[in-house]
Amino acid sequence: MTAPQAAAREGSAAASTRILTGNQAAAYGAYLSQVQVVSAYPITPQTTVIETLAELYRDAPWPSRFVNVESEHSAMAACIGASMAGARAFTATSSQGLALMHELLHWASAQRLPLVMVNVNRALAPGWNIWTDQNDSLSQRDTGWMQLYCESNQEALDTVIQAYRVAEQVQIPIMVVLDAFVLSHTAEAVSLPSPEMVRAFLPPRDPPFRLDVEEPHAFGGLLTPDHYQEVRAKLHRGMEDAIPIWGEAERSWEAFTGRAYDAVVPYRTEDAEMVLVASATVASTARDVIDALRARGKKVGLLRVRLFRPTPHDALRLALRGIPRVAVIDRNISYGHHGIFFQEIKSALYDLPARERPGMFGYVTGLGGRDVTRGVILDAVGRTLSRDRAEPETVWIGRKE
Amino acid sequence: MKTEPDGRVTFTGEADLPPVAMSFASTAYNKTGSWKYLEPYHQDLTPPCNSVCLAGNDIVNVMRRIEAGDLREAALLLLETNPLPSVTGRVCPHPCEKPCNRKAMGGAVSIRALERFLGDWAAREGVLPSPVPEALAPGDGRSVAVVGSGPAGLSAAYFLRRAGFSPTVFEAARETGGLLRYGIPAYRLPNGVLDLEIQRLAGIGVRFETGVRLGKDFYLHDLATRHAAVVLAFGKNATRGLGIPGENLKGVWDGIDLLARAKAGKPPALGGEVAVIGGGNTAVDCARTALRLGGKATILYRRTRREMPAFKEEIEEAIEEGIRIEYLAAPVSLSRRPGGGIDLRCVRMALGEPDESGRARPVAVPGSEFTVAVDAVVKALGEGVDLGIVPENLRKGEWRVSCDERRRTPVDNVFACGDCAGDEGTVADAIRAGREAAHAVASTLLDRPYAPPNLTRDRGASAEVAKFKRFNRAYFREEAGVSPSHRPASERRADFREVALPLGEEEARAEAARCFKCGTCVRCDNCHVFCPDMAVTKTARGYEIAYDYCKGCGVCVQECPRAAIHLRRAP
Repeated sequence: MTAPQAAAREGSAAASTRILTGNQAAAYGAYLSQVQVVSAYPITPQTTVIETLAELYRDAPWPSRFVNVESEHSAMAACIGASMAGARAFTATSSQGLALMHELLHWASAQRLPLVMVNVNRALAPGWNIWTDQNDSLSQRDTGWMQLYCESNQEALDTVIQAYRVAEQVQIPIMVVLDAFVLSHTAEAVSLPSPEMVRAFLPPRDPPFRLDVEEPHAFGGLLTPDHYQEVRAKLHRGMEDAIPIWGEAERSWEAFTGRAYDAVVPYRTEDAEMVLVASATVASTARDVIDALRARGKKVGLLRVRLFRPTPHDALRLALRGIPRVAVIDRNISYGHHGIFFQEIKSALYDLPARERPGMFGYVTGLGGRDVTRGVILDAVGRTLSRDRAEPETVWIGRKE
Repeated sequence: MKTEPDGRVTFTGEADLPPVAMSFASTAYNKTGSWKYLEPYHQDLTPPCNSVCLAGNDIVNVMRRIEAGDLREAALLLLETNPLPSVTGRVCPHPCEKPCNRKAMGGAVSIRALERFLGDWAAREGVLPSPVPEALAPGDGRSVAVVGSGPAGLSAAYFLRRAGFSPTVFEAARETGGLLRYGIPAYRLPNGVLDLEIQRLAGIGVRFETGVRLGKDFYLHDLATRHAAVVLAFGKNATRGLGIPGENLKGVWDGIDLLARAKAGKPPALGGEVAVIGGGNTAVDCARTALRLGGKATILYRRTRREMPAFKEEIEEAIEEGIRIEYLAAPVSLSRRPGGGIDLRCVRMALGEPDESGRARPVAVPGSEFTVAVDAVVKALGEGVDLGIVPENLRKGEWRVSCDERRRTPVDNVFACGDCAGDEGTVADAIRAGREAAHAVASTLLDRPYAPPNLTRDRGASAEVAKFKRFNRAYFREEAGVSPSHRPASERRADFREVALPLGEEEARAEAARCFKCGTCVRCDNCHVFCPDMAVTKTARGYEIAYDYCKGCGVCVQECPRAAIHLRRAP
């Protein structure tokens, strides 16, 4: 019996510490959330998420199903069906698998199903590549799913649990994103909250509507031009509502565990003349670089963006208003335009008064799992500080010349 | 949210709308049935087995009941049309298995073996047909005489009784059964089996008088005055002669006589080498009997195997047992062999032009005579009807009683069926003929049409025969059957015990489950489940199609495994 299983049986209130990879931590997050239906299809580097779950669900003490399927499309379909029937459902995938799910991602969000999915960031083929790269999840930007990017294994576990709470409050599915290998296959100490604590934080799902023979409705039928726009507007508003609700979830989780992350996480941005913006594990390396530069008297700081969708406009504006230079590091590219975080943040800050509006510098690097080293980040800082205005074209750094 | 008079719901604004596309009212206001140009309808077809069964059994529905383990209901249904299931379950040539659609996916269902299983079960359990005759009024208990207790006579008596008459069967022999008792060897039909079947007839009130012979102990006139009607159902009672020198020598036996003596347990001593002359079932039975009596048997037949009238499987079993068949050979003369035995002089034959029976006419090959030394010769050229026992005006030609298609003879209220009436054929043919005669009696005496029931049509099936190509094969798996096993030839040639072994109940149910139930709705619910418009609803008697909503898509027709739903042009 695994530790969380034992804890689930014994009802132990105490947290325990375990050495877990990011994938294992995410799996424990789902298990501790007492997910009822898991359906997934294996793909490197996600496989150990569902392997861990398969083992945990072999004898989960609550009514549950682990549904084997033949593709990611079917995995998402199974989760949609389970969720429609009122169950709490989970899946995990990566890269090509996520791309294959695309059609059903729209079905899940437009049907307002509070699914949680872990996506392990991996580059897309052709040119097969199993290493980390954000283009797979960012390609799903407009599917109506919330997206959060994790920096640590602990955060992966915590975020899955938080995600269920928020998803079920706003009826919107959430994608929790982990870097391939850097998180997915690297072990570190993770504090497992007790099942009781999780139950107190996350009440059982109480869907406002579901497939129910006692109260029959047909779902997903024709939605004519008379009504389509109104129903979609409700989804958009749900996304907006999710920002404060996510904040509430963070405060509550903090009360239980002492841990909170928030939508954006500033680091030494006070009096900064330049702020680096990064996401996921690149932020960890960047934090080191900031410390080193601060030690040399440079006024630089870091803003980690965790919540990508819905875009936390207010938090971004609050954190970056009046900063002279903002440099965004993107491990992704919208071909023919810019790094995707860059364009989103630039757009969010455009409404600031001209005098408070930062100069925006965008850097693309680390694609297909290329390491984003301290040197690469220093290069971004150096280029930003040495110029008054951003270079006009997308700047690729850490690239072989 | 506003509900319109026709049931539709409309939303007045965004606040009204649900967060997702979901319904709040029925779509019943929308009569989608108006879109169709085709419409489905449920209609059972005639299963191929039912279409050829001589006895008119509703085989498919018997299979369904066996499969369900409801043996009593299965037996009652079978007894509706077949008074002698244990007999036909052994000796019927099962034409039903030939067109069986299952053939293409693991072999035809062993219908005959199942009939035997069910008949034996019913006999053991003492199942009587339902309803009991007392409950039937039409015939009003009027007395009818039946002459002959072979399959045709037994069948006529059974159906007369079930039509409310009081039949008495007159049998010349000491025991009832006729050909069944005296002409079919025990290894195919043990007497005990026959006894139980006849006991069932007695059980519903059929009376039997044995050891009384028409034309000797009584005359047709006596019967006609004492009974409301007479059914002549006697069989072949005269053996055809060889018409060659020496056929009355000692050691030359009459085939039917040999079979009767063997069945009665008093077989003659034949000797080592036995020649059987003929090619019908009697010839094969005689050869197999001679073999079981310790001899070596050879069948002499003047044509080839293709023309042999005996049942194919009987020929195969005989060959398995070691019977030799000398084809294209005919006897010329018989003579006493010095020192014992018989010299059988034969001539080689060749096949010529087809004769009036359609078979190639055998022609003797000049100069091809040869002699075989044997200990005994059995004449099995076929049998005829001795018409000496009926008045002349009832005779038609040399061999049959004169009767019309309604089984009426020239004498009022005298009817005929079975071998004596020219119904040459199988036991199942005789059962059909007996039933026809019974219904002819009923029609005449009751002075109104009394049609033989057609179970398949009466339950609503159309005459069209269900074809495999119309089935949805996705619902059927290739599945080998439980071919009824036979005792090994080496073992069975030494005794008169039955050749074919019975099926056990589990086996029988599994075999019945292989039946496709061709063209027969078994309430599988596919039409109900697959209908995208939920227009097929279940009723107590089957299904109902709501044509107001059926769009005529044909999914139900496609998903019906066994062609019990069809499409027609919508009105």
